[in-house]
Parts: sequence; C-alpha cells; structure tokens
Amino acid sequence: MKVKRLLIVDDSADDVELTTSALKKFHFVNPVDVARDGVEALDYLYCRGHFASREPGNPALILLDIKMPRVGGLAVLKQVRNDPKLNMVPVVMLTSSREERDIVEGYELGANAYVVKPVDFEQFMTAVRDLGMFWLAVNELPSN
Amino acid sequence: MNPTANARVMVVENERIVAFNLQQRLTRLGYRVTGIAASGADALNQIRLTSPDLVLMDIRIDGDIDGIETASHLAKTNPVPVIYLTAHAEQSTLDRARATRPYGYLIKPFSEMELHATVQMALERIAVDAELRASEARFRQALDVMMEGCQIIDFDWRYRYVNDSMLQQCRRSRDELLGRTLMDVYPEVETTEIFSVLRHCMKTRVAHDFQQRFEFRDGGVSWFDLSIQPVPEGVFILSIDITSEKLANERLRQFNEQLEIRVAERTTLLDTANKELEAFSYTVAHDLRAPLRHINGFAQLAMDCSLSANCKAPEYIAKMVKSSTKMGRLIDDLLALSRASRAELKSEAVDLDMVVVAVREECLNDADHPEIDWRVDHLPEVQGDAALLHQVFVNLIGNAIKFSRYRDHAVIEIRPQPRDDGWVEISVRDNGAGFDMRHADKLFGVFQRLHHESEFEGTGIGLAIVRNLVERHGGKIKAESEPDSGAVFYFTLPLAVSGGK
Repeated sequence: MKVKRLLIVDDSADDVELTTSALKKFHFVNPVDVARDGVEALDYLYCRGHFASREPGNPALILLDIKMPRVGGLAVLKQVRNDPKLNMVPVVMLTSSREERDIVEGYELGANAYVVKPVDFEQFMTAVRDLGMFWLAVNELPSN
Repeated sequence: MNPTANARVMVVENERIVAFNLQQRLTRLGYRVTGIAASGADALNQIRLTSPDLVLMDIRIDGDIDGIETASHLAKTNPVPVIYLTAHAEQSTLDRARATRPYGYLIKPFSEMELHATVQMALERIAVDAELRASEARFRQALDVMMEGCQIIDFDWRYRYVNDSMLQQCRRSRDELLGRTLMDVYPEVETTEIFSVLRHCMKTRVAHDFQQRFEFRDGGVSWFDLSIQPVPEGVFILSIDITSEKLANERLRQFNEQLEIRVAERTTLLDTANKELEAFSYTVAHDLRAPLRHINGFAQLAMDCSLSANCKAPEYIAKMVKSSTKMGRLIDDLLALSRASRAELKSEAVDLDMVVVAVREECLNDADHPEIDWRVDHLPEVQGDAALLHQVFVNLIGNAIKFSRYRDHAVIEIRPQPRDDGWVEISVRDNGAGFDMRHADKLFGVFQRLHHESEFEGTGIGLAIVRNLVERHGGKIKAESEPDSGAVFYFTLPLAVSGGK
C-alpha cells in the first residue's frame, strides 16, 4: 500500500511544530510535508519551484490554514478544486478563524471539513488525533 | 337718462337758408343748436369754444377745406362725432367720408323724420362709445398699476402696451419699447424659445403658461412666470418675477445636495470605521489567539517531557517567551492603529526635514542594522499633524531598515517630487527584500503580511496605519517593488499653507 503523505500548509512554525508533536504523540508515522504559505503549497502540489524534485503524487490530506502571507488558504483551496488532477485530495481547513464568512466560503469552495484550532493544547491534540485517525487511517481514496 | 335730451348740436352749412331751416327743425325736435358755421375754419373755431355733442357737417362748404377735411382735422385735435349732410352720394365722396368714421350720412333732401332718427342713433352710439372708453380706461388704469408685468404685442410684433411693472422687470424705459418691434429691442429674439411660443399663440390663438429664464444685458438673470393670452391686437403677456423664489429654491436644492454629500461622507467614514472594527475583531480572534495557543501548547509539551531523558523544556519555554512577546507587540500595534484612526488631526506647518532626522535616530536606536547609506534630500514644509506624520515616517523608515537587514550595502533614499498643485509627492526607497507586485493589493490591508515571521518579524499593521494617516491628510499612497530588489513607497501631502520655507 502506498504511503499516505500529509501536507500541512501553515505560516506559523510554532503551529506546525504543535501539530507534528500531536501526530507523533499518537504514533502516526505518515510522512509530513510543510508549506509555509499558499505560494509554497501550490509549488508543492504542482511539484515546482522549491518542490520541483519531490517525490511525485498527491498528499492523502491537506491541513490548510487560511490567513497566510502572499496567497491565503482559500485561494489555494479554490485552485485545488478547479484542477481535475487535484480536486479529489481531501482538504481540511485548520485555522484559528471562527469567522462565519470564512467557514461559509471554505465549504462553498469545497473544503471537506473546517476545524478551528482550539487554544487549549489538550483539545488541539484531540482534534489532530481525530483528523489523523479519520483521514489518514479510516478514509479510503481512489487508487490513482 | 335719455342721451338725446338737450343734446348740443352744431351745424356746418354754407347755405344760410338751409342752415336756418335745419336749426329750426333741430330745435323743434328738442336739440340745442350751439352755432352755425359756413366754412371749415369757422367750424373748427366754434367747436373749440362750444364743444358740441354732435356736428352736422355739409361736405361742400365755404373756405379752403371741405367738410370731410374739416372732420378729419377735427378728429386729430378735438374729436367730436360728425354726421355728414350732402346732395352728393357718389362713391369716391362716400369712401373719403367713411375714412373719417362718421356717425351718419344724410342725403339731401331729407325729411324731419330721417334727420331725427339719424341724430338720435348717432347720439345713442356716442353714449355707448363713451361708456366703452370709460370702461377701457378703467381696465387700462388697472393694468397700469398692477404688480404683475403686462404687455401687449401686436401682430406686427410691435409693443402696443406696457405697464410700469413690466418696464421694471425688463429694465427698459417705455420709449425704448412702445412702437418698436420685439426684434428691434432684442435682435436675437427670433432664435429663442419664448419667441416660438409667442408666434404659436399669435397663429393658433391658444393661451400658454410657462416659466422662463431671462438674461439681461448686464449679465444679471431673472426668472419669470409668463402667461401668454391671445387678444384682438395680438398677444397679451402677463409676467410675474419669481427670481427670489427660484433663488430660494435653488439654495434649498443646493443645501439638500450638500446635506446628501455630507451624509454620504459620513456614511463612508462609518463604513470605513465598521470595516476597521470588523478587521480588528477578526484579528483579535485570529492573530491574538495564535500566540496564546502556542504558549498553551508548548507549556503542555514542556510538562510532558519533564520526566523523559531528552527534555526539551528550555526550548519550549523560550518559544513561550517569544509568543508572549509577540502577543504584546500585537496588542501595542492594535492600540497604535486605533489611536491613528481616532486621533484629532491638527493642521499646522510641519518641517519634514526635522521629522526625518528625529525618526532616523529613533529607528536606528532600536534596530540591529547594517551600515545604511542614507540619501535624504531637503524636504518641503507640509500642512498636517506633526505627531501623526512622525508616525508615518517611523513606519516607512522602520520598514525600509527592516527589509534591508540582509543587504551588505543598504541604501535608503527619501526624496520629494515637487508638483505644481500645492502638493508634494515624497518617496521612500530601499534596496531590501521587496515584494511581488501580484500581492500589492494586500500591502496596506490590516494584518496582511507578505513575508514570513521567520524572515521578517511584524504584525501586518504598520502600513495600514501609514495609509490611514496619509489618507486622513488628504493624500494618497502607493508602492512599487520587485522581489529582492527593494521597494519604493510614494505618498502625497499638502504643502504648508504659508508657502514653505
């Protein structure tokens, strides 16, 4: 079985570290790639720029922050859903924005889930564990 | 009262027998004969002295002028009704006689009955005419003193009648108008709308009411309510000056317009304030929650690893300290933005040279920086708020220093671009990291960042403050850049009212 890769798109190195720490704590061994903003995320997905030589293939899940420098998460989501090569990749918005318009726009653009990062780390870890369990273990993806 | 009773009649007849006979018959019929004349000159003289009610005028009389000529002379000087007496009834004589508008024509010989009927009928008509004249005079008097302008223009476009109000309204004298045509007085009148209305009324005899703007020779402007009525002579124009009413309405309209503009301005201000408030709460929700989350997370991680061998607690604690510092800075910047948008804007002459010197010192004191090659031109005095303009330069120069951090040879240029419209455009240029113009629309947005925290720290509020302050001074700001080759910010400020240094 192919390894299920996880792409975390977040401009905060601290948030990335907390997320990966949580994954490690629950013994997920999936490889994690990190893009620090929307531009890097698209570079990753299209295997270009900084990510030109990465191992090809779509990630099994994208954890996507909304508010980032240069290109934001919603713009990345829009691009992913408009591209037939990418549009089946599950995208979970993982953000600190509780704004109704962000949530609505996220779903309108085709997000699979919308999770607000809890301030409390216990809850944050639980959320990451549940997301990992579902999208990386339970959920089935088309083989191609 | 019977108009014929005691009527005073004058006889002009050169044949004495006939004249005497006529006098007897008239007396018998109850009239008083005021005199008998044989010539035109004698007749005119007697009429002037006795003022008879009626003249019985033979056509063929003594002297240089005949009866018809005497009558027409009479009409011009001392109008008295005339009945012609003659044995001659040929057409040419009749035509001449008719032109003098007589009250009757008796062909000799005539009976007493015929005389009586003709004289009576004439006297009756004279009485009716007098009444008509009196009533006409009454109406005319009423028109003369009316507050409204009145004028009659005849079918040849001549002024036939104008009252004092009309003269006052059109700022002309009676002599300038009466007897002259509309075209004489207003040479361009035939191209005007009012002329076509008048012509239409002349032709169709249909009344028309409308309002008309009128420009005088001296450039003054009046407004009139005009009522145009067909009358037998041509058209009658009633005019009411409504200029003051129009001006009041115009003032009211302008006032309403200004009010609407002010409401719109206020609404825009409110909208802006609302958007800022929305962005503020958005950030409180987003940006302020992030460091809290990090502190919470790293504290948990530090506690969890405290029992393990390779404890990373000091590293986690360092991150917590960094997050709390960042949170403090976010709060400070949020307060600065809030102050910038609410601060009372003073208007004074500000020496930008002094501002830049102060800002340079301030920025260099609290920044670890490479050697900076400053290229600062002499800046003009501008009109504005010194403290707020200071803030503008703090943010722009602070940014220039920050984004030049990794340059070996950092150059910061500050230059004025004089303009001839009372404004100056100032540019602040650096050769630092720059940014991609594709993201330029986000540059001045609240809490928008184009760089990563790991490369250049910041809260994404500084340029939002700068734009807010420049716009509150009435100016505009824009930026140009290319990644890795620096950025330049252009903004405009009003020059000092005093005219500069």
